[in-house]
Formats: sequence, structure tokens, C-alpha cells
Amino acid sequence: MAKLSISIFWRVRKHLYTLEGRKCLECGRAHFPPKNSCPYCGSTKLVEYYPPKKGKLLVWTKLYETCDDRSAYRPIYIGLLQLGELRVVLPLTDIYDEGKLKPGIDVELVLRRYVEDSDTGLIYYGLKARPIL
Amino acid sequence: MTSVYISGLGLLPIDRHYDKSLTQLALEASREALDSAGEYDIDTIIIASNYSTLLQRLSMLASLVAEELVPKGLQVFNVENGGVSGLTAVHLARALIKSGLSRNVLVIGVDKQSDYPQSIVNQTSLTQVNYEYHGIMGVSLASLYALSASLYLSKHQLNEEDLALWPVVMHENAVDVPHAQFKSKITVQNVLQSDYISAPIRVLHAHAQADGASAVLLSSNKKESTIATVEASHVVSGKVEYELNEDPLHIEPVEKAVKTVLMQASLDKNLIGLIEVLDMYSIGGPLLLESSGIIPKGETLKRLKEGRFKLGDSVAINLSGGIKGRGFVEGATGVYQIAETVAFLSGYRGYKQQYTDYALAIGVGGLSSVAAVVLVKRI
Repeated sequence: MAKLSISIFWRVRKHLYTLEGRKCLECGRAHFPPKNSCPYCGSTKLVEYYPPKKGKLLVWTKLYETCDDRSAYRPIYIGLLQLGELRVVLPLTDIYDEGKLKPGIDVELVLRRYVEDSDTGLIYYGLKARPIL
Repeated sequence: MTSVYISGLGLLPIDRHYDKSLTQLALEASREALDSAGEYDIDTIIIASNYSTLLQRLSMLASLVAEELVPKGLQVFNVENGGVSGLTAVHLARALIKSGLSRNVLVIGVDKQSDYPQSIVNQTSLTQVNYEYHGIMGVSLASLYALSASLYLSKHQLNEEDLALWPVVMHENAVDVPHAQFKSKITVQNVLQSDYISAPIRVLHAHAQADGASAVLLSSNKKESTIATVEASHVVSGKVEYELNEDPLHIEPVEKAVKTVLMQASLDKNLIGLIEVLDMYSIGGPLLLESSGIIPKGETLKRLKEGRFKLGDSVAINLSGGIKGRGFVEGATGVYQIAETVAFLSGYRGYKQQYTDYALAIGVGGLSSVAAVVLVKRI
């Protein structure tokens, strides 16, 4: 488990770069990560759903106990966000003043580095959210 | 209708057993259970272990134990189902007995974390979230429980001090539990002074690394040593991804599993006098109890502050000390929960006794991936 699998990341890269979710044509609910059938009603009538790039922070935490591969980034801020019809958990970034990190503040998506496979390995990128201050 | 009897218990002390292998721990708990049952003619072994494949690289664990325990050969199963691996194994054992395929099933729960440093163990625990998304992002199970803890405290107008009471009571409960990992008391101040793991979850809300094994013998026939029955059990899947839950503070599969179990036994929830609940990062206790419908929403920590849920109360909760006091042995925890409910119901071999007929063991895998519930009745 030391390194990420390149092929796993390759398969999900679009989802992590765009937060591409799915919206159900039967019950009307959107979800992320994308499934083959709706996690709420089971319907397979789904269409792609791309959330807006801006949304609200619902709640956040600051994670100190990470795996070794994240030690350079410790502590990691993690938030539950509402982006249009999607609710997602994402890492937060660009936190310069923790006091301003309150539930309800506006956030926007930015592409950032998640982790790298050692000094000479691949660098994995994906979306994080930052506060709009 | 076939009854399912519990006739033997094995409860190894939870500790860092550097000198013993995973298989040795499983065998020791097994022999203790079989000796206490006085029954060695088993036809099935079900082993619950969450990390034996990832950490010890033993995916044929049940066969490895069977080699030494019953060399002639028997039915073997390995169960891996997150934090409810143990309760799931008991549920499957009950199903095998009720179907007539098995007569005497030895259910063993075992896990061992001390073979590796904490950072490696943390990586394995990422397998309990959807690794292809949250794992890659670095979102751990602790951080998801922390989000829930923040939401819970804010919704019910509670603070960190209120949450700190949970591990304090758990440590108190564990003081006289023979197999508990920590038999020392802590204070609210100790909890609030411990470092954050993921705010508001602190080190003293979390379990320590632990090794252990527990075993129970389930049978289709009543023996002299029989002390309880498995009255009902159920396992229900939920949502692996935290954000898919309609209400992050309501663990829907727990509600469904408890309802089903009560219905199976035609039992009023008010007759349950003892609960062993999987209280991950402290907040897991209130979340699961309130999702079960047994404690009203927002009431768990308030009642704990009033001194409720202790030995002798109408419902005693986690007399074992939960994941903080007794310890958290990953996939083995569910088997410990069952053995503990039986021990506390019967006052088994020096264990304190809660005078009630019915006990419930409740657990979840991940935060809401799967729930398992087992109802035990004293004989």
C-alpha cells in the first residue's frame, strides 16, 4: 500500500479533476463519486452532472494523523461542501487565517497537488476547495 | 425453530502481544472457548479479521487455525467486513446453525496491529473509506468522524467538554474488566489536553494500537455450559461515501438493523438492559445509539453527564469500556462485544453482572458502510 496505483488513478482522474458526478433522471438527485446506478433509488437512468466551481462550506476539520505519504502536507484541512446539487468531501487549501474558516462561507474549487509517489515518482493532482475571502 | 446457544467464551487480554503471532492469538482464544464449553466436536470455524490479509498477509487464516485445532478438516470461513467483521461472523454462524448445515460453530475474532508502526496501520484503515476517492485525497476515517462530531456538537449545542465525558466514563467502566487494554481512569482535563487527531477528535477519543482475540462457541443444542442464546441478528449495508448519507448524523443501516432484530425477536426496545456499542472516536457511541432509536437524538451525552448508563441503570452501556477502555481490535471487536454481553449478563468468571435478560451488540463498518446488530438473551 506504499504507493498509489497509476491505473486506479488514471481511471478516476476525470472525476478528481472535475468532480464529475451523476444525476438521476428518476428521483432527480445528484451524487458523487459517480455510480452506475443511483445510490438513492437504484435507477440506472443517470446523466453526468458537473457541479458549479463555487459553493458553501458546511463543516470542516483539521487532520493531523495522516499516513506517511502526506506527512509533508500535515495537517490537512478537510471540509464537507455543498456545490450546487452535490455534497462532497474535499481537502481544503490556502488556509491562511483559520479564524475565518466558518460553516457557511463561500469556497471555490482549485486544482492542486494531492500527493506524490516518493521523490522521483508520479505527482497526483485533483481538486481542492479554498475559501473566497 | 432451532435455537442458537452460546456455550463457551474466550476473551484474551487486549494488549500489544509482541511475542505472539496472529494465529497463536486465535488459537489461544479458541482453546479457552472450547475448554469453557467442554465441547471439542466443532464442525465449523468462522474467523473474523479485518487486517490479517493486509498486515500479516494471511488470507487463509481460518485454515491455518483449523490445521492445529481440528486437523481432520471442517467447514472454514474468513469474514472481513470492517468494524463489524466479528458481529457479521456471529450472524453467519447463527444462519448456518438455523439452516442445519452446522451444529457447533466456533466464531473467532482476531486482529493484530502491533506488527507494524502506526503510519502503516493508518494506511490500512484507509481501506474503510472509498479508497479510489477519499483515500487518494487523504481523507481518513478519523477525519470523517471528526466532521460528524463537529456537526453533532453544534446541532445539539454541546461542546468539547461534553464529548470528553464519553472516554472518561469508558475508562471508568474498564477498570474492573479482566481483558481490558486500559484499566486506568482519565479525567475530562486529560482528554482536553491531549493532542488533536482531527479536531474536535483528540488522542484520548481514539483507540490505541491493540492485539487480541476472542472466541465464542455457538451450538444447535443446549449444553451444561450454555449461558445465553443468540435471539436475533442482522447485517445491513449503508453508504460507504460519507457525503451520500441523507443526514450525516443518522446512520441509517443501524436504524434498519436494530428494527429488524427487534422484530425478529418480537421484543420491545425498553426490555434491553445492556448495550455494547462500537464507539469509534467517542462520537460513534452517541451516533449509533441515537440512530438505533433506543436513545433520543441529542440525548446520549446529556444523560451520560447525569450519571446514566452505568452498571445497574435501566440500560447499561459499554460496561466493557468500549474502544477506549477495553480497546479496539478491529475485526475481532464484534466477537469481543458478543462475549462481553454474555459475560455481563451472566456474571461469568468474575465479570460484573447487569441484571437484565436482553443485551444488544451494535456496530458499524467504516462510518456508515455497513451495520450489524446481534441480540443476546441470558438463560
